[in-house]
Formats: sequence, C-alpha cells, structure tokens
Amino acid sequence: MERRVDPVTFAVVAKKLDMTASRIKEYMVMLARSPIVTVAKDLSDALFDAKARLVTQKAGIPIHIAGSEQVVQSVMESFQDDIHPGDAFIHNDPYRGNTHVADVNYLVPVFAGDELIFWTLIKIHEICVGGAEHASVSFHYTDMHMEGLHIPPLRIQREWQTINDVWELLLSQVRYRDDIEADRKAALGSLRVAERSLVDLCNEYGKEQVKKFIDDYINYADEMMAEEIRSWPDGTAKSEVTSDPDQFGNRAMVVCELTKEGDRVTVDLTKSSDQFPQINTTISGTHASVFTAICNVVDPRIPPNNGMYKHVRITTRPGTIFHPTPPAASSLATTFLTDPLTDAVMKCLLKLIPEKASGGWTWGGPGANNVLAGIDKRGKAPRPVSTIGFLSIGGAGAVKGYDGWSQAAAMMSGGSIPVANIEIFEHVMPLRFLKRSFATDFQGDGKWRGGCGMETIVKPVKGHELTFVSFGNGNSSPHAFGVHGGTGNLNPSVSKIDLKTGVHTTLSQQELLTPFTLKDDEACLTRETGGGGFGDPLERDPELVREDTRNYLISPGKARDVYGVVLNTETESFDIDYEATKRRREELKEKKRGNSA
Amino acid sequence: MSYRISCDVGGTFTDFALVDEHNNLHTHKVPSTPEDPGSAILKGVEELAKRFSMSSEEFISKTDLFLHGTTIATNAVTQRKTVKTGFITNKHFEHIFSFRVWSKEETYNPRREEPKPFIPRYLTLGVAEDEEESLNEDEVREALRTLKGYKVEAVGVCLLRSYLDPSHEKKIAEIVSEEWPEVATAVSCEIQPTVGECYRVHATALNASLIPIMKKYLVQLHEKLRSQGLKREVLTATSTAGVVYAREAANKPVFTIGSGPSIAPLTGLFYGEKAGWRNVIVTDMGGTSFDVSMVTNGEIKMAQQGWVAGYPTGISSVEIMSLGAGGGSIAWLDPGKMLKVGPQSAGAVPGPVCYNQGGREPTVTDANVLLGYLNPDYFLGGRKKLSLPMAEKAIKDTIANPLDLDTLDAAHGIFTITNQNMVAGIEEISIARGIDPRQYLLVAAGGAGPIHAGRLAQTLGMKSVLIPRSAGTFCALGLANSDIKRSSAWSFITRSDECDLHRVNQMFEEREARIIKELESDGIARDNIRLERWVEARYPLQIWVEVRNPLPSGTLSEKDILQMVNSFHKKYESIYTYSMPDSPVECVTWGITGVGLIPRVTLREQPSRGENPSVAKKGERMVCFHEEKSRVKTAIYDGATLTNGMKIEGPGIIEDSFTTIVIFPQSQVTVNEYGNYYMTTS
Repeated sequence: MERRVDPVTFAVVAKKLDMTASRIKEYMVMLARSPIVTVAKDLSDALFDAKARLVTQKAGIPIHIAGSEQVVQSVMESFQDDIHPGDAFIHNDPYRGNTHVADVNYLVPVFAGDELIFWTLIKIHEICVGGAEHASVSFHYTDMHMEGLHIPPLRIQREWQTINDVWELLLSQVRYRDDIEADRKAALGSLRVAERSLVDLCNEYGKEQVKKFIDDYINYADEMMAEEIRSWPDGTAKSEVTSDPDQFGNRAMVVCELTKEGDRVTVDLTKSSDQFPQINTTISGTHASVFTAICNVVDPRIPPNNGMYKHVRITTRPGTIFHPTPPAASSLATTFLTDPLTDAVMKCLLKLIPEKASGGWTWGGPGANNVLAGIDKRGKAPRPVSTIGFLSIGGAGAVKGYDGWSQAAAMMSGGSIPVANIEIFEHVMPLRFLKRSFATDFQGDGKWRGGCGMETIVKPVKGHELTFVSFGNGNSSPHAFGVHGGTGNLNPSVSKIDLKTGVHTTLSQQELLTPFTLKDDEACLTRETGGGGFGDPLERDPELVREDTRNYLISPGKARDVYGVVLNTETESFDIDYEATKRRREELKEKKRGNSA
Repeated sequence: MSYRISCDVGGTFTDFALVDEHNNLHTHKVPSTPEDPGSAILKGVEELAKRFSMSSEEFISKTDLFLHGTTIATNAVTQRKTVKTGFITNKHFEHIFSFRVWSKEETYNPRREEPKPFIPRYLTLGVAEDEEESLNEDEVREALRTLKGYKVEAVGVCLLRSYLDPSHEKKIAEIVSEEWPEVATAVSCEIQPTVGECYRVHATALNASLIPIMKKYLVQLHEKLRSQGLKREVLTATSTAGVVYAREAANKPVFTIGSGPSIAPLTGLFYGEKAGWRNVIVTDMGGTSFDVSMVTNGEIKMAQQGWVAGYPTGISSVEIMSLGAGGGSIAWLDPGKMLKVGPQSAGAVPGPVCYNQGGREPTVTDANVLLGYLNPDYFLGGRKKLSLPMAEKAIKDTIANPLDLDTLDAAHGIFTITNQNMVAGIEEISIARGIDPRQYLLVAAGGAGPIHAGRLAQTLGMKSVLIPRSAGTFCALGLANSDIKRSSAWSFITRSDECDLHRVNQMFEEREARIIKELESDGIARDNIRLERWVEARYPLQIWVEVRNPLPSGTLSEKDILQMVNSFHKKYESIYTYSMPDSPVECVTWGITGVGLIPRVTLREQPSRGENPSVAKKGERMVCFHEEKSRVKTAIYDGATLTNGMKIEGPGIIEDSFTTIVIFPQSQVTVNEYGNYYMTTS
C-alpha cells in the first residue's frame, strides 16, 4: 500500500509515539503507591486512534493490551458525541470489552483543536475493587456480583478537573482506599503527561499528517504480518489442553482449531467447555491470549498494533469459558484459562510451523499467582496491606537457537513482570524472605533448554500474620511442554513449613483453592516451573551443559543421564570428559532407538 | 608558579589541557595506547613540556595538580576483563546476581540471549544469617577456603538488609582480613549502604572485581610520574563529576565507571557560566555514541545509579543519557521499509562508506558528506580524505532507491532521523523530568556534534548553542576545573511525620566529620571545604521515584524538614502534574557531598578584531539545508582564522581542525571573547 506521509515523518512520528507510550508506564510505576503496581508492575498502557484502533503498545503486559481495543470501543459507544477535551474515563466491565473487574482502565481522549485524534489508556490490576474477599481474584466468586464493583464506561474528569462525587463513590467501594486513590491520581497524571506530548505532536506535524501517519503505521504492520503469514503453509491443526480442577472437581477443556489460509489465521474455540460459574475468560482476554501466542512466533519487528491483529480471526461460542454470559464470574480471566489457551495455540502452531514454535512456558501457577494480605503493625498505626505476590516466577519455553529466559512468568506477561528487590518488598509488606533461588533440575531439557524454575520461601515478620490466596493454575496439570525431542511437563507446588519442627506439608489442589493464613512461626515455599525444552538434549553443546551444571541449574546426574555429558565434578570448572561424553551420548541414543523400536 | 595538567584518556585519543602560571590554556592530543594507557600520558606530557622548552622532569616538578580521567574500569567491565571474583551473601540467595528487578526488553521476542549474571552462581557462596540467629562465622571461613581454592583475586560481601544493620557484613570483612589479608575486598556497607539488594550486590561485585586492575594501573602511573618529580598523588575523575586522590580511586574503582561522560557537564557549566548561563544541557557526540547530561541552576543532575554493560552500578552518579547515535551510526530499512538510524555503528573500522576502508552500509557521516556539511577534502583538518561518490552510491542503493526517494532527500532523511533520536534523548532527560529545555543553553561537544547542534536547538526551541573551540579536548578542560569530592549516601527510611531527627542528625554529624577529615588529609584547608546535604524522598509506599531535595547544614530542626516537604510537593507537581500536599513524605536516601574547592581556571580574553569574518572566508560550496530543496551556495570559513567578535549569518559552515560547525539559515554565530562559537537560532 502506498504510504501517505513521507518516509522521514513516518520514522520520526513512530519513534515519538513509542516514547510517549513507554513513558506512561514508566511514570505510573514511579508514582503509584500500591505494591501491585510498584513492585509487581501489573499494569500496561497503549495508544489508540479515534477509531479505537490500537496504534502503539510499548511496555505492556500482553494479556492487558492485546484485546483492549474493545475497551476503547465501549467508551466511544457509551459517550458517542459527548467526548471532549479534558475528559477522563474509567471502565472495568468485563462484559463490555474488559479482561476482568480487577483490571481497571483509565482513558484520556486527546484532541487537536476540537477533533479527537488519540486515546491514551492505562490499565492497572487493582488489588481491590470491592469484592467479597481480600483479593480481586478468587475461585470463590461464582457470580459476577461477588467480584466487586462493575464500572461501565464512566466519566471521572471533565475539563481536566476530577468529578468529585463520582470519584468518592468509586473509592468508597474499595479496601486500601488511600493507596488506590494515590494510584488513580498517578494514573491520570501519567496520562495527562502523555496527552501533553501528543497535543504537541499534532501541533508540530498538523493533525492531518498525524492521521495519515496512523493509517500508514497500521498498514505497515498489516503488510509485514501478511507477508509473515503467507510464508506459512496453509492448513489446519487441532489441540486440546485441560486446566486444573476447580473446587467442584471440574476441569475446563480448551479445544483449539487453528486454520491458516493465505494471509489469515482463524482460531476456532467454539468446542471448548461450557462456561463455569467462576472460571471464565471474557472475550477481550480470549483475544489477547491468542494474539500473544501468535506474536511470539512472528517477526518481532512487526509492531503489535491493529494492522497485525486484523490477520487473526477468533470464533467463540456464547456460553462457553471463552465467551461467558452474565452472571458468570470472570475474576480469574487473565490467568487461569489464558495459560492453557496460549499453550493450545502454540501446540497448533507447532504442527503448522514447527521450527518457529516454542516449548511451553511456565503457567501462572500458585507460586506466582498469589495474593498476600495482612495488617502491617510496624508503623505507628496498623494498616492493611495486600499485593499480588509473584513470589516465584517461572521460565519461558526454549525456541530454536535460544534457551528460554528465566524469571519470565507465563507467556501472558511476556517477561514484563520482574522479581522484586527483596529489601523493598520487605519494607512495604510485613514479610521476610528466607530463600529465593533457581531450582535445580526444574526446567525442560533440550538442545536449547527452558528458562529455569524458581523457588522462594517467605514468612510473616514477627508478630504478624499473612493470608495467602492462590489463583494459580497448573498445580495438577503438568505443563511447560517440550518440543522436537525436548522435555518438560512440570508441576508447580506450594508447601507450608512449620519453622519449629521443619516439617514441610505440600498443599493439595483442593487446599490451595482456599485461602490460608501463615503465622509468624510458619513459612511457605512456592515453586514455579521452568519452561519446556526445544530439540534433543543429546545435541546440546556440552560446554553449555557444563556451565549449567557448574552453576547448579542442573545436577551432574541429569547432565550424565539426560544430556549424556560426563563431567569431572572434582575440578573447579567441572571439566568435560569428552571421550566419556561421546560414549555416553552413543549409549543414550542407542537406548532411545531401542525404546522407539 | 605552578602548572595544572589534566588529561582525559579516551579510547582513541588521550586529551590534555594544561593551565600555565599565567592562566593560559593549552590543549594537546596524542593517540591512546590502550594496552598501556600510561605510556600515552607520559608521551603527552613530554610533548607538552617540549612546547615550553623543558624536559618532562622539569615540567612535572612544576606541576601542582595532575588530574586524569580513565576508562580503565569501564573498559574492563564492558570487555569482561575484570578479575575473577568470589562473593559472599546470604545462604539460599546465592543466585542473587541472576535476578533482574527490571522488565525484559522486547516483550514479544523470545529470540534473544538472556544476560549472564555478573558473578556466576558457583562463585557466590551463602552464609547463614537469620532473624533469630547470629552470623555463622564458621561458614564464612569455610566459604573463604573454597574461594581460595578457586583462586579468586577479589571477594565481595553483601548481605540482605545490611543497609539497616551492617554489623554482620563488617564481621565478615574482619574475618576476611584475618584469614586472607592480601585479597582485594569490597563490602556493600562501605560502598554505598542504600536500600535495594539487586543494585547493592552489583556495586559491591563491580568494585571488588576492579580493585586489582585499578590498583595496578594507578601504582604504575604514580611511580612513573613520581620518578619524574610529581609531588602529589594523581587525581582521578569519578562518576560524581569530581576527582579523588589515587588511593581512594584504587579502593573504590566502581566510582570511576562512566567518569568520562560525567565530566562533560562540568565543562559545559564552565563555558556556560562564562556566557552567562547556569542552565546547561551538554551533548557529546562522537563516532558511535551521543551522551546528554544536564545542569540546572549550576547544579549537575544526578541519577540514583549508572549502568555499565547491562549491569546497574548501584551508586549515585551524574545522570547520563547515552544513545547509539554518532557519525558512524548506520542507516537501514526494516522489513516494512521504515528508515532507521543506529544503534549499530560502523565504528572507526571499517567506518563510514566514505572513509573507503571497506564500509558498505551508509552512515550519518556519509549523509553529512552528501548534504555538503562535511568537506571531503578537509575532514579532521584534512588528515582524512572522504569519498563523496562512494557515500552517494551507498545511500542511493540502500536507502533512496527502495524508498523511491531522491538521493539528497534520503540523505536529509538520515540526518533528520538521527536528529530525532538525539532530540528524544534530550527530551528524556529534560521534558520527562519536568524541565523545559527552552530555558537552557545547549553546549555541543564531540567531533560530530556541532554539525547537528543547530538543528537540535531549533527542534527543541532552544535559542542558544555554545560550541567550545576545544570541542576535541572538551573533557580535559572540565577535568582541570574539577573539585575534590568525597561523598556518602545511605538509606534510612523514615516518614516526615514521624521523622527520627535525632538519628538523622547523628548520621549527618558522623559522616560530615569523617568527610572533613578525609578532605583535610587530601590537603584541603577547612575554609575551602563546602558541604552539600540532600535527601531523596517520595510519597510513602512509592518505590521508584525519588526526588532529590537539598537540606541545610547544621543540626536539622522540624522546621527544616517541613521546608523540605513543602519544596518536595512543589518539585513533584512540576514534574508529574499532580501532588498530594496532605500526605507525609517518606525520606529514603540521605547524602552528603564534601567538596574540596580547587581554584578555578580563569581563561584569558582574546582581543577583538571587529565583526567582519571575511578574512576567515575560505570559499563556497553547495550545501543542502532542507528536504525537497536543492543545495544552496554556502560560505565556508576557516575556524582558526576567526577571532573574538566576528559574526557569521547562516547559512554558513565553519571548518575547524577537529570539528565542523553547520550554521543553519536563520541562525548566526558569534565568536566570543574566549574564542568559542556562540550560536543563536530562531
């Protein structure tokens, strides 16, 4: 398609939008007060045009942003012509295009004169939206009305001034009100800073040029994506993945049929399970999951905007886990089913474009996806505190040519959720870390291995208690699958430790579904899996096996029996015995051939 | 009667600034000798001495202060040549160097190598230290035996939570000095006891791993200079824009990482003040990178920490925004045909296409030749010939043809995008911090900078640009004007409404006394010591934002804290558009910098010979200033002939021996009384 702005303007404006988008999140993380934002960084931002098309996302969490055009659309539908400079909107309704109620969207329309040009959006996972329990995510919300306040598109600022009665009403619904109020001010502050730079951009280039740029930029992604998909063979692939059982013993079944034809991909999820009372992913989360898996196999230089996404069509059936209808709840929408869904899409891609697919990633298991809540009594006045823990963060699946990243978390977060500085975490929450480590032999093996698994032990500080709420998946569903001869299929776990006796008790799936409280003589151990491997471990460069073993990521036994690498562990650098390694690898290959015969 | 010598050891050149007994400034440049940086220093000294018809010995014996900036530490880290280092931390946290508290770049790209930890896990040993238990000293001794067996040359020690209580770390340090006195040791509480273990372990490990390298280098240099008659120790630049004596630099080499660019704002301020500015944005553009730093009201902007080779340095440093934008930056098209410039660079070898040294990919320098900004026959004062036809062909084939653009427009596109990358860098450090660059003077240094500076200023709405004539020896001059700095920063988290003033005052007094003592032992008289106190604060529970606030000297009262809180709210609002004036403020990191004032260099004014620059005009050539417009005939001036008071209206070009200055239409350049170029834009 012919470009409408000159190549130089094109490159310059693209860069400016990238900068603006990066800055929104950067500011928000700096300015917010809730640990879920400042420590866990569970938030995203993006820029959209006046037609609600996603233009730029720079530092977002995939699950938040990849389906968020629907959020902007629903604000526009609600307010139609009644959208003005200086407005700001809030919106968290999962039945109007949002992911789950806990993800609260803040939107500011940006005008050049009286014409709407951009929407800026920030989406924050808020630790409380007024639900029945401590956390805004729970297996026990079996009806949407238990989850907390559903906010339809609602104006919270007019002419750059906060509408105080609405503001108060919203805040009076939540726990941790002071922190959340500070976060909300920070969100609007960040968006207003972005507004300033976008208005400057329109002044500098003229709004017509900017509008033309947006079309060009979307076409640019569109064309690259078309070319990418055309290079794949046409065909259809199917896969099925199941979730952990819920408290009633039911497992959700993800059935995915992916068809590639020409420059289009169609993903049919209609055969997936009928909706659950509590475990569902709304349309926006469903779309985001599918897009995320696909983004991981295409050329990373394609900007993930509207032009890219339009090549993917997703069909769902109302009344199913991926297209629930009221009053089904969806507080777990961004985790519980999204990991099986990205896995299902990746397994289809593995059949169509085997070389580009990755090993399975860790899921948001109970070791990562947990809420910690308590009363902090260390200051002058006791104060309630709560955050998403992300205590242990698992590894990414390997791809051809590269090991998976460690501390990547589920594919849905794409490495955007880092671990916390322990000292800072301990300053804001009354807990103490007793351990944080990679876990030996807890990742998939392969010519390229998965990112490492992690294990963490925390306890409440003296005189405190902490409630632990898991909203993870995968405890009893092995995942992080290996590909092309790589291994995987690992399980996370959570154990309670009695510090007086040292006794570890691993919690069963059913026990994990109910919040439990840790006393100050108890600790909890969380283990999150590494990622799946890619290719035959016997082909891995022995030098890399040596390095991994030397650094406790894999054991000498595994090096010998899975990788066929014999090391002299008496030497400082675990020297490779090349002769013995050659023999050992032959032996293991022979054995494999025997097994397959 | 004494001289002051400063030298800045760079990758390519070692630059000298000499201030003689009459306050005349002399500059000099010799090629660097990276395998033995000291020999270039001695060669430069020898050549400078010759200018005064002296022997090196005679010359050095008359030298009172010898200041130098070295990239030894930075290079050792980026080239992975630090010494083998063992580390002691808490048991069960031995993977501490692998844990990143920042997000992965490129969310959707799994095809990247994960960065390796600075210290491998197997050299990181844990010792037990728990809520209830005391330190297990046997484990410390055992760990040291293991590390001895591994033949490490340095040991770093950092325990979790030591910013709250350093006693266990200190105990470990004691055990190390008992068991293994000869090993180089760094302990986190002595480097910088600030909150956030991810940063502190890096500061400690970097420091330990550099001590033997820095020591060896400085001892050798010192011996050589002393044997030639230097009476005092060599002073070394740090990343806090100050200098320290060699002994301190050898023990805390982590503070010298990034010291080169940290000096730039000092020079910028020096020149800025002479031109009546205390708000200065300093840019330094070389072959591969573009560094920006900032001075507001005479105060250099600091950052909580610097970065080196992907690792946080963990120590408070001059804030430098460094971008991969230089003369050698490569222009390329992505698969969707978006024109991009950098961050890859052709470097010095093979260099830009026009160097005719085998470079194939068009660079910013190639575009600048084609646009007429650079003279192919007078690059670096004529020492290097450039090929215009080769530059033109590369841009035509690689950029213009695929984009269906005229070759000149493509060159202008490369120029514009490079400028935009640099503008973005300047905005990041100014506008994104609530600072309006229009209130600032732009100081443009580095060989390639003055070609672009005029356009950067116009784009940012900055009215004035200063281009030092000694752009090539920019940092050496700043160094000559450095003060001796001893600083201390530590975390003590306390809220303004329940502030433990007694403790804060105690902390300041203790450190202040120590710093004064140290500076006095550096030979600074008490009258020449200035103390600067600050506190970094935020709203309670915030983590990443820390707004730095000055504090008065003496015993702090509640009124002082209140004043700080008020100014915090204002400063915060000016940056982030809102504030929470009803909220208390959390004070996090406190700091004190002791400045040992060294007499300033005063430059001599040049006599004026009138406004008319025609004596310096050496010809005309066709130059392109705007997109889609052809070249226009432009006057070319010889920099060496321009003198105080001469005025040039744009468009015009000044060719100097190390740099080329492009004067865009609607701009003018005046040579000021110190021989520097002062550009005004509209």
